[in-house]
Amino acid sequence: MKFSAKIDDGQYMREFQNIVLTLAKLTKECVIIMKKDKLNFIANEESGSTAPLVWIEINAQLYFTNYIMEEKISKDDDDDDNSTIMLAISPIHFSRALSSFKLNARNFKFKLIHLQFPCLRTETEVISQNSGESRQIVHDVPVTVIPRNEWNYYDLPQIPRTQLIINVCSNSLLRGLIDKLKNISPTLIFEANSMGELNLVAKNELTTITTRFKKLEVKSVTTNGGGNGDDEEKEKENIEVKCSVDCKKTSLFFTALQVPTTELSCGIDDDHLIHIEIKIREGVFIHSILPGVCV
Amino acid sequence: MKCSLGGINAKTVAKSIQSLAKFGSDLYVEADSQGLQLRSFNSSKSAMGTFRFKRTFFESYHIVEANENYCKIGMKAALAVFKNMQQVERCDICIMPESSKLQIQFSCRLETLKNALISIVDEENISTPVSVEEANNLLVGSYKLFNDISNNFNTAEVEITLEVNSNGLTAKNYIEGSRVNDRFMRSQLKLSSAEFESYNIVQESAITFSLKEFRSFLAFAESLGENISLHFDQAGGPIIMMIKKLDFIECSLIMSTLYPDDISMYDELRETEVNERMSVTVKTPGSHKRKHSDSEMTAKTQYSKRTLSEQYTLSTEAALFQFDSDKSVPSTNCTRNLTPPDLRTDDNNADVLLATKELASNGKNSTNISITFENIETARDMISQDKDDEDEAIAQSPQRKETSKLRRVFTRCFENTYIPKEPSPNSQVYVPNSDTED
Repeated sequence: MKFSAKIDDGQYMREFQNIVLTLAKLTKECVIIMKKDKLNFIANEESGSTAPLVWIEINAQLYFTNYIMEEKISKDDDDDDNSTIMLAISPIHFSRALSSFKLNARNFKFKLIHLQFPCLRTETEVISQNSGESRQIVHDVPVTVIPRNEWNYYDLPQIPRTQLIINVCSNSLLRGLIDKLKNISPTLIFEANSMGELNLVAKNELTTITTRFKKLEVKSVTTNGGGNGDDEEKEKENIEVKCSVDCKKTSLFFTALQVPTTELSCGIDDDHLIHIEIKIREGVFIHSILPGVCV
Repeated sequence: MKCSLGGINAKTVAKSIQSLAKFGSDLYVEADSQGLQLRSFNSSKSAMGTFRFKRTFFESYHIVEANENYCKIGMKAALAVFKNMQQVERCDICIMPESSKLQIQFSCRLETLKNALISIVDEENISTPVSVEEANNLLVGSYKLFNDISNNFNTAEVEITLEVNSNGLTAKNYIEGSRVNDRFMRSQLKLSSAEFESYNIVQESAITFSLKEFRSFLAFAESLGENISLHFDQAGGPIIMMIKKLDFIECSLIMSTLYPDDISMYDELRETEVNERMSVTVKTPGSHKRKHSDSEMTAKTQYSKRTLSEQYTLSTEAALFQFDSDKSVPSTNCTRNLTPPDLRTDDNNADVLLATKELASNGKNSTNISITFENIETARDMISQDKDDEDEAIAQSPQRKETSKLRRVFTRCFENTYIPKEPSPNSQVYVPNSDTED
């Protein structure tokens, strides 16, 4: 099994670091799935009791300049496209290894090596501010290789089918809001309609608090049933969807986000789940699924 | 001894005490005609920090040569007195031998006067035979550089290894080939020689020392804004860290470094805990041999290396520790806190002897283990007896039942093979052991 990747650009490095920091705040152990053209991170739902299911997809060719992934399958000749490496890693250790990016890092390499046990070695070359000399920082983060028979357990979740996807404004507003609503009620209700309105409702025995966001951009609307004709009618149809989710999970997710969230979209499947997608750049997405709860 | 300081200098003295408080439990105050000296060392006596303030640092300095101008006070008391220095405008320190107290008076803003009397615990002073000029290698760098090195490692790291050669320096938190557990994250930082103000390496070496004391001194250097210079030799020899500010302040931290044969300091500390619980403070060389793959070195040479470090031990005039170099009691890195006279009780002796005998029967270098107890009369007899009986069944000995405790404690000694370069026993085995000897 061979894996090595390199990042040259400072901006990409900081984004990568932010992604790993986000993961570090969510869970203590996450799984990296390395495929031929993609790199995925999955945060296990069981490891953190209240952490939501989060997965991250990174288009490898875009991010990394030198992406080599080889998996030696001795018997099969085929399956070069499906070759995968799965590792369990602690994102806290990994984020510490990447913490040197705050300084002027010139380039960054990480690869899979085997010393006394398999590790992910991150080599960063930084230029010191004082003398302008370049230094090399090497960290070895211990990983566990996940054997093949457990791979199906870590299959990437599919993007669920939602009726309405709406673009939400910045994370900072939502984060503070959900944090405070957490004390009011254990469940939070997301209501949205195709006019571009989103309501966040928290109900208590004595109070109901509703926050209304207006004039949001509706990304897509999918309705159930109905024929293909009369598109105009469909557009005029006002879809309303809502879903109740666990407030703690939502709050945890939003507070953990360390990435700039200019494109945060919420997909709501009526009464079933909420799918949150953050697009950092083309090819790099953070997804999360918040399951619906019964009130 | 009487002296007084201005506000800013008093704050510097407070910072130095805070720095010493991070690892020391007692503060030794010494005053002579040249200035005031504050000293402390850590619990295992493996590091000693000294702050020397020259006479010119003080506004007024009055000393009577005839009196004894040194004392030892508790660190907690000193720290509590020098806590809030924001309001202090003037500080007066005076040793009062008659009432055996150290008097510290602060004149603060708004006409406030704070008076503190700290009881003197003991009248002793320390001297050390280690001198700076003996060291061959010298590194001088700004505190920012060492701060970067220190920040590269986790705050929980116990020790740091510096590998120096003519090109540059590598700072690591592990030792090559040492035993690590599965969750150990290694880090290393490579610096080129040009980053240092002065890089004078005569001998290539790799030294390992404790990070806690280093960091506390680094914080002081940062507050002064001065460079730090490191003087060292080879692994096993002391490392001296010096900070100098003009002519006023001179600080040095003398630390012991790990011998190349010893395993990580952290593991050693754990082992002493185990030993102390058993109330046996002697570490048998057998148990150490388990951990090294190069067992060619005989115990005798190991002893000679270890006794070498006694030259560098801190000797107190009050003779707190009796390091009798004639005894071949194996103390790894003698500066650690070993109290030899605990071997009095016969029960313990018997237990330990049986343990070593087990080791002797299992171990590779059985001859060397007998040297352990040379100085104890009964032990010698027992061992020479037992050596004859080695082939016989041990089970008949009536005290064997008691070794069950030992077995649990010294489990590693009874395992068949243990080599540090193999992964830890907890990790998954991908390929079974193909060693034909097993």
